[in-house]
Amino acid sequence: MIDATVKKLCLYHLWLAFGAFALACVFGEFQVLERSGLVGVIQSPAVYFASVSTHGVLMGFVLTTFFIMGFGYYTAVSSLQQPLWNPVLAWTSFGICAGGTVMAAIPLLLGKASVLYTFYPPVQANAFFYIGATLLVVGSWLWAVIMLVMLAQWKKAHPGQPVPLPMFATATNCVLWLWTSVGVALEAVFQLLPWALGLVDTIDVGLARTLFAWTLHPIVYFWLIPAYIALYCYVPKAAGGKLFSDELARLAFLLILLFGLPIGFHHLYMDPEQGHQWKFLHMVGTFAVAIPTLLTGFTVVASLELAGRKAGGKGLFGWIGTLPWRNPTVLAALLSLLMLLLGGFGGIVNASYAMNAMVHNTAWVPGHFHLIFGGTVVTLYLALGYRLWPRLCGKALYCNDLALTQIWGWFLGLVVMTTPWHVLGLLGQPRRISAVNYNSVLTLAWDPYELVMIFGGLILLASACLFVYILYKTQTAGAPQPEQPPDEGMLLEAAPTVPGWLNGFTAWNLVILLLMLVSYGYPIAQFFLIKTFDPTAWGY
Amino acid sequence: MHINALEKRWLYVALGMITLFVGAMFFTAYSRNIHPPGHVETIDSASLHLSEEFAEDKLGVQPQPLPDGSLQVKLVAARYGFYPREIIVPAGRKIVFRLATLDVLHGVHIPMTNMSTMVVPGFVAEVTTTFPKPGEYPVLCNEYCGLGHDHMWSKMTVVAPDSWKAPTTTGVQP
Amino acid sequence: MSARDPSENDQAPAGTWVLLCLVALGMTLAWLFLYFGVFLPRGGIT
Repeated sequence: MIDATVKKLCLYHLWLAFGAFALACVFGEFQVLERSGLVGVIQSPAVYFASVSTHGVLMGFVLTTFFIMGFGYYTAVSSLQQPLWNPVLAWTSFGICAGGTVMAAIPLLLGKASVLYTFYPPVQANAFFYIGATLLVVGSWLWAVIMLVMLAQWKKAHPGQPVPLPMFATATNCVLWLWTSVGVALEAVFQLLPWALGLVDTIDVGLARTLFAWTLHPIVYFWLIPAYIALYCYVPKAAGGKLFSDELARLAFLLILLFGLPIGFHHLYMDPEQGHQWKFLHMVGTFAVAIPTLLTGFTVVASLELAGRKAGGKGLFGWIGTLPWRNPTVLAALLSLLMLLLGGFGGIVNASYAMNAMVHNTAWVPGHFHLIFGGTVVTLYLALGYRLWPRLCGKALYCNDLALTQIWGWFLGLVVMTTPWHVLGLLGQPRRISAVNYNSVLTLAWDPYELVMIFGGLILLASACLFVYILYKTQTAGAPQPEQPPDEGMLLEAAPTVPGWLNGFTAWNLVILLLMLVSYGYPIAQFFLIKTFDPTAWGY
Repeated sequence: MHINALEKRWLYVALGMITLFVGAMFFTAYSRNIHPPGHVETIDSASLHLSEEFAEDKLGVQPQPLPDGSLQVKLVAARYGFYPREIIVPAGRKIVFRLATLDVLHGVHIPMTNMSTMVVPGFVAEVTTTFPKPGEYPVLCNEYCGLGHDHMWSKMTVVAPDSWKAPTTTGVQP
Repeated sequence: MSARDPSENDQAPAGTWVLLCLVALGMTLAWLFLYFGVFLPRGGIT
């Protein structure tokens, strides 16, 4: 069912995503060099903060949204074996998202939106930045609608049957995204846009931060779920085995949806505008959302173990060696799981209520999210790119060895870059500084780590360029392979029956509504009940 | 719903580990009062200089301790420093920091200590901590607040309790 | 897969179980060390 229109749609989305990714890596290396202070001629806070803002938007919003949408179209059509519903709407969605991206990119690159990818007021960017970012979010809602309509069409045509797992997960991600993006949408529509356009003079910063926190945590699950789709749907077969438990996979996705949403205050632990009780409540929820990831670890590793044993692995751990390490999907999964372990632990530390004081806004935080996002998530996005490209272009993957080199390089670069980054955080280095200017002996301890990070960044940049090169060569010079075998990852054998509560979302939306009311009801309402003094706009 | 026996055991192990962490935090919250800052109090950032509490001559280490013996330190966060730029406090004593920002969002952190809070326009940030070790500590801004953010820092000196003398007035600026 | 599926016992992922128990042990020790050994000794916080 993956016809020429769908292929074109996917390729447009994925090229935009991966192009943004490669560009952002260039900015990233500039940043790590500039921040070390070792190259005097490039020192410039204005250029640095414009770069960080652009890098953050490209990696956190552009790479992710476009990849997820493109992969979503592919998944819907392949796993449901249905034509794409409303291609015109899909192209409209792409147009709005791409237009919004360009609209935001211009002020970003001109240094007129150096407010970082979190854009906390009252520092104010050029209005087009906020308009562009809003359009990107709104366009993605159209994609989510298409996904959910296709799901509904399939369920009508297959009453009572288990929804194919890749689509169940994709639909979970759409429901999650719609709930998640409400926070930042409210902030944009009711606060940032009127304020940036000069319709109102002041802005309630406490409310803005609270609404952004609503989005800020679950958005990482929006990014993570496609990586989990790869782990559950593609990896077991690629390793020569099968998924250990279809039902537990569904349960994990559902638990991420339920517990991933009402927990944003772990981003606000150090903030004065929310009370202890709410922070404690969100902490408990944050620890609960660790459970589906811990379950995912078991289900996926067990699938790998059984595959490795089938290939002859003996004893408790022999199966690790007999796995097909030369398969890019499997290699990516193994490295990604290792980074999930380390990055996940860092996340548990961040979530630990008062202990957050030890790491909040220090260099530990970007170290953490580069490891868990750049590591666990992006590695699997790249692996999915390698899987999809042959099918989208009708060509064989350009060179398996290069793909393996690229994946190893990405892993090595991340280890070399994020390990010192975490240490810098524990040594107290703040985040979001463009250079070290404190006349304090403490900072002398920081220099060696910054130097090492430069090399990590270089390896990452080389790996990113190699990735784009491989995709480009596959598309232009790969061996023609117009007939592709059916995509096993999309056509898994489901359990013969799946309980209704693991097959749909209607009732769960009510549960989510309740959880959100409890977690955010009063914390948001308070800004309308107490008297707040709202600041005006500030430049930078 | 079917779950493999070993996976079920793993689920219990995972739940146990999570419960242990949450339990430890619950325990220290209620037995040792370990919490992140969470005191919700509003203030008009645009008129701090006219306020009772944060006028320039009222800032810094307060001469009068609070009824429970803790010291109060009042600071204003503004581009680009925490004012007053130098403070001297005793080790081992509970210190209540109250901060307000004059302009934009800031974050304050004293490395190697648990003094950490965001300072949000429109709100007073209050955080209480103790500094066990004497020494010279930088007081750093850790939230992007403009192009001078790199330079936003102040100094805190922690002295042994016997060598510390309460200031005679507030508003001491170095 | 029914609970009485005969292939289940040959399919027990013992290596995964041991590996993940080690992971849980490591995380537990690391967290306890950070919380009680590094964070709290730096001074209380409220």
